[in-house]
Amino acid sequence: MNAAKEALKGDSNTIIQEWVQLYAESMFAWAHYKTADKALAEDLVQDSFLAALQSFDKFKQESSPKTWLFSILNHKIIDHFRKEFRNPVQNEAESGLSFFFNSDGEWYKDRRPQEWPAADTQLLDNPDFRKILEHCMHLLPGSWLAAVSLKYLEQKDGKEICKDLQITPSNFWQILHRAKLQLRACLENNWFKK
Amino acid sequence: MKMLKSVLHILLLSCSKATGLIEKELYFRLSPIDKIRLFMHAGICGFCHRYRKHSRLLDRLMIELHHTHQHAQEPAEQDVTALKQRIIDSLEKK
Ligand SMILES: [Zn+2]
Repeated sequence: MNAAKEALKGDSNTIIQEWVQLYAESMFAWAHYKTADKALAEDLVQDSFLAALQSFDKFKQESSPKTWLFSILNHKIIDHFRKEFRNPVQNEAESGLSFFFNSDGEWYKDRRPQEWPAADTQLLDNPDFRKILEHCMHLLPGSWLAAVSLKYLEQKDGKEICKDLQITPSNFWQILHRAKLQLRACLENNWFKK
Repeated sequence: MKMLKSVLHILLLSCSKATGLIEKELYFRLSPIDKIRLFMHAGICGFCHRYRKHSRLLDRLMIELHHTHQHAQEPAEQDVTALKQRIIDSLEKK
């Protein structure tokens, strides 16, 4: 590597370190909001800055650094979700349809949905309830959490999400189906059945 | 009885299939046949009727939760300081 290039590389590293000071916090908040996973969010932000250093010469001065960094981060987040979907669902016996339904597809008696008293969105005003809801969301396996996150956080329609994730629609809503069954049961057991 | 059951499942869906369609309809268009079958199933099956109500409430809860998150949840100062340092260290190794 010649001296001029070396100097430029040093410069870009300095600039990116400044950007870390300026934008790491909001990038972390964004990634955390998207993934609901602190450690993962930290890794994604770190990866984004490393990627930014590597492709620094692609950064065009006319777009703001923040916009550019967030577009890298968003790619990292989607990549992560994609990977989650490629991992096969483990432990079908404990979390799949057969956990809730018998071989005829009927609800097992003790897993039937119960009446939920006072169930409306005002529940979120109660910090205890929020804690339980977040706890239940974190119990979902990665790919399920990814499906739920994309649906609720991106507010995209089904076709768009499937395109992003490169999976078929039927695969996608089957994942959501299992996620919702589990989430619903978790809330019922931990909150409504008190 | 077994015979009747399987005929009912074809006409009216099993609970397992019905709950699947309840999720599917939140994203994708159901075929007219599936729409009718789901309508009939939810009409006679109290559990799936309940499931549908809960499922929709969960949707609204999750949306609300994440809207409020966005405003309320700033990461703790200390956490981000540590993260910044970690990133800068990794940049310096490059
Ligand atoms: Zn049913």
